[in-house]
Amino acid sequence: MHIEPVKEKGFYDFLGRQVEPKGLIGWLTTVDHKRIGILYAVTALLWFLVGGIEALAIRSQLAVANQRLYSAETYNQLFTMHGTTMIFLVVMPLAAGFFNYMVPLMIGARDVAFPRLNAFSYWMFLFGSLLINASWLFNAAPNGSWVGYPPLSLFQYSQGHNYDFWLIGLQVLGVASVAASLNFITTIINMRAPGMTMMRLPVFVWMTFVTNFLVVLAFPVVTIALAELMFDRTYATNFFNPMKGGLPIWWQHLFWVFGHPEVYILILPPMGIVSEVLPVFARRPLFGYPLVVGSGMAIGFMGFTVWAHHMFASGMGNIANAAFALTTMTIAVPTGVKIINWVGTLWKGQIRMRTPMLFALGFIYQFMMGGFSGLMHANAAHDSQQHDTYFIVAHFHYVLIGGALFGLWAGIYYWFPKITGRMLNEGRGHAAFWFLFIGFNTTFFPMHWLGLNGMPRRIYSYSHAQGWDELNFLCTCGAFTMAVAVLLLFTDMFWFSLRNGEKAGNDPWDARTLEWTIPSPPPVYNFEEIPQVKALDDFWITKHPELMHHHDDEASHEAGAGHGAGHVHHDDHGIHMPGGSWMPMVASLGFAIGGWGLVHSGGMYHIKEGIQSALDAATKAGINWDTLVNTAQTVVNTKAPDAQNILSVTSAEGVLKLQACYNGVKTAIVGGVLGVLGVFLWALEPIGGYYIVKEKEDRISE
Amino acid sequence: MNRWIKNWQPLLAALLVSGCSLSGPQSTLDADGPVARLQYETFLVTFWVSVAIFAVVGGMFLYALVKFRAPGGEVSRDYPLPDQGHGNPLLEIGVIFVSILLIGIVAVPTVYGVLYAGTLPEGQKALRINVTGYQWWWKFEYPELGVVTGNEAAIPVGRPVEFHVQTADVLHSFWIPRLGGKMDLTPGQDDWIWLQADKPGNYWGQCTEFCGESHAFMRMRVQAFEPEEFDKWVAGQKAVAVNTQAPAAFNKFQCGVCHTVRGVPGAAGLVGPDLTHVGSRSSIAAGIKDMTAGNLKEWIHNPNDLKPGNTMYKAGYKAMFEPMHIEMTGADEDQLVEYLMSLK
Repeated sequence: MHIEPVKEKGFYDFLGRQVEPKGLIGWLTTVDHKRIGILYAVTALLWFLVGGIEALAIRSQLAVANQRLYSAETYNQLFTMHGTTMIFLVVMPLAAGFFNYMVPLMIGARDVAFPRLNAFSYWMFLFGSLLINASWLFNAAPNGSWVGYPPLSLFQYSQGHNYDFWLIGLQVLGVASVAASLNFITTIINMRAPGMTMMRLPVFVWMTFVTNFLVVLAFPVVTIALAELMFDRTYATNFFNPMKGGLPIWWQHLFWVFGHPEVYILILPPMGIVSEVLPVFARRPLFGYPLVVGSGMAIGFMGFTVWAHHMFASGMGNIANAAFALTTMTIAVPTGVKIINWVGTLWKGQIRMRTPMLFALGFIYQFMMGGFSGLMHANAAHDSQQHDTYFIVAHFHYVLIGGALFGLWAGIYYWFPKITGRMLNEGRGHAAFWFLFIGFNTTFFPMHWLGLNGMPRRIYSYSHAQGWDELNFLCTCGAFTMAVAVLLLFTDMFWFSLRNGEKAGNDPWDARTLEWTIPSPPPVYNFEEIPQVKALDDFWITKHPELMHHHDDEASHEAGAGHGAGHVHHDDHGIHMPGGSWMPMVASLGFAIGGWGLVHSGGMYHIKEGIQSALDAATKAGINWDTLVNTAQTVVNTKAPDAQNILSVTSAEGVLKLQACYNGVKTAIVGGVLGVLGVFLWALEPIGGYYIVKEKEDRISE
Repeated sequence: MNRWIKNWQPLLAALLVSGCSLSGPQSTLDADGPVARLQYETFLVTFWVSVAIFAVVGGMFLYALVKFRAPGGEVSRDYPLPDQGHGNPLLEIGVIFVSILLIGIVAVPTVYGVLYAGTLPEGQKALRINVTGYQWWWKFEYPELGVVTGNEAAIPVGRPVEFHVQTADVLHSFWIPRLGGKMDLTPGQDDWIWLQADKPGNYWGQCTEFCGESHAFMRMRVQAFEPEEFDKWVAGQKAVAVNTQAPAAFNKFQCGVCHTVRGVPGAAGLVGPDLTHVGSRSSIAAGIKDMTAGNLKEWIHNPNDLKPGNTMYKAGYKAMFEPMHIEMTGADEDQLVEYLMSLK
């Protein structure tokens, strides 16, 4: 094997895309889906620690009645950031990590459709997550829960930058998600290996496909809502301001039209992972493959018809409440089909109790429990009792930890050998599973009772008389048990097994899909030769040719799916690999700086209105803006009486805030220009890259 | 083993008690009115349907885990393969059919429950109470009776009460769990729920829509009285304050700018709770403390301790300028506490 760079000519050559970059620069400029996948996953896991620490802080505060560990304001910031972090910075990007790493391998491709766009998605995600968490440094972390309902989120009621960080941060993250989704949809449609028909796709790839359609359809809705709220806060528009005829309820509809599909965005990829893990460790094909795929699509579609079940207490009226209760209940059908098919996969199998399997089995049990409490919420009559109580908290943690995170952890244990070439330790894995399983159920099962016993969510404190002491203490004990599990998982993953784990080989689990046909970790070009797919679970069929059905073979002749069908042959030019590029990072850095500026321009027009009379007086007196700012500085610093003749302390503070807003706008413009410049240069970049050419001797020795 | 049980007995007992004791003051399972009871009954339907599904599916799951476990939990690659079937269409159709049937069982009581809670009962005329949520307290107005009170409402036993909810600022949600489900206070919407108490007593409630810094401290109580007791209560509340001689501290700190005490000149503020009969209430500071002289003094001494960010603190204690700036001596506090306690 040797490498031949592509010869480039022209003025823009100096931007030339890196040829097989090494070291740190290699990571910063990478467009390799595997590296980007690792970046996604590692970043998500780091945020998982942050979100977990926030969770422990919340549970410590609630451990006993009348606790005052820290202020109510801090508590509100903690639970808001816990929710925002776990949803947008942990579960979504961790799933995206698997999309990135695994989807091309599972469909027999060498990369995603748009490698640089892929890098751009990651950098937008990283900078967006840093932007939203930078709020902690200003003691202005978002503090209005992850749903951010107006009027509380309007400037009139929240004058700090808390909501500005949240609004802009989520918009930056939204760009990352939508860009990634378009990329994966294209990849799955266009980049499949010959013979990899849609109905031969691994279920994980199918769920990726459905999930990314949900992202593309749901995120624009919330982006509109976020932009409108941002305009309300910064430019004093009145989309949600009831005083000027705006409709706070409109936000709730927009948010949940996004918010409900969002929970399926979180749960469908783990469902896909579980559908991969179960057949491998039961040594049986997935029971009812077409129905598992179809019910995934049905869940995705129905996810758009149920949003108002988050609003049963918002006064929609009897008809709407009844209708949304019924649409919500129907989602139980495809979900039930999935669970039955998973149990059917285990039935008559040979269940191998390895760590990925334990997590997948934990998923099934806990997701089932979450499903039942979901059915109980769908009962709109009693939901008016459950709504916004700990019963809801119990429910969504059962689906998001018990479901999504257990599924993702099954994926980590399952694919870690492929990604690193080393096995995770089975003993520590089993211990971690049981700590997590017991800790999780101890934390969240009692919350059902707390909710039914009247404990609302998002409360900073409660009193003895309310009768919630014992169970809250139990929940807190459970939370710290989970922390032990996380510690075990992380030390094993990032230290012990990464360094000393048993060597994995190509196929440590006796698995079924294409990623296990190549070395662990895979070479940069993934497949030396693009595979020719003959059946569902192709690798399994290869290992057990007696299972090959006659019709599978015929289908592969007819199919010709995927690009390049029918011309798999040795290519004397070698394998063309894209080179690295700085531009995705530069562009997203620019947009993130722009977002930073927008955050600091938050409230601009409200502040201006507040000091309009002072501004008018200054204009009349012929004082220019710079002098006014200097005077304001003096007034605030010295409280000098003669300066206060021109400006009161309040007005002076307003002037300085307005100046900070103007600086924010300047930063936003600079950042925006940098971002657009990044995209422009990106477009001008030469094709670049390099060829990996197989030596003649290698060919002969084959 | 015995010793183990002995050591852990107290904890086990505590767990058992807490697990079974679900009759806290805000328990939804202890329904004391027709709305809460019907909602609870519909809950039981979904609950038992879930238990039945869990028994069947969970049972199959558990059976499969035990029965179809590979020998020793792991087998080698060349171990003979198990059945390689891909599925069973009849079973799938059956699952879909059965789940639709089960949903039907849950759906009927659900729709009935929604309509029941969302329709005023015919027959007895409902008592109307207008509820207004503020950050972070409740105002109750009885438009037909001319009564205004804060954080504690009274209702007659056995008569439906129509609560119309509105907000003075952000979203809140009105919830008295033992009497029935909740309703959000949304600006620009005239939403209502009806509740009814079966027996006299104190019913606790709490704001359940996140409404800012002191959301946790926005509680309330509804007292249910026998009809004749209720009429007495109304007569008492309609009267002007029993003591219209407000002490010097009351005027000095301009309490009347925000609070109403009917009968006291200048005390007609609408920003804070009506204090005309504050001494007759059982709790203070929006239901977070019982009404005692000690608690009241603690509240007046520094309202920010009990309820961070509240308006009285921000506009009074933190106000930079006289005369709004509140800085009380112990004597001022005692004077105010004594006066407020006397306002029965």
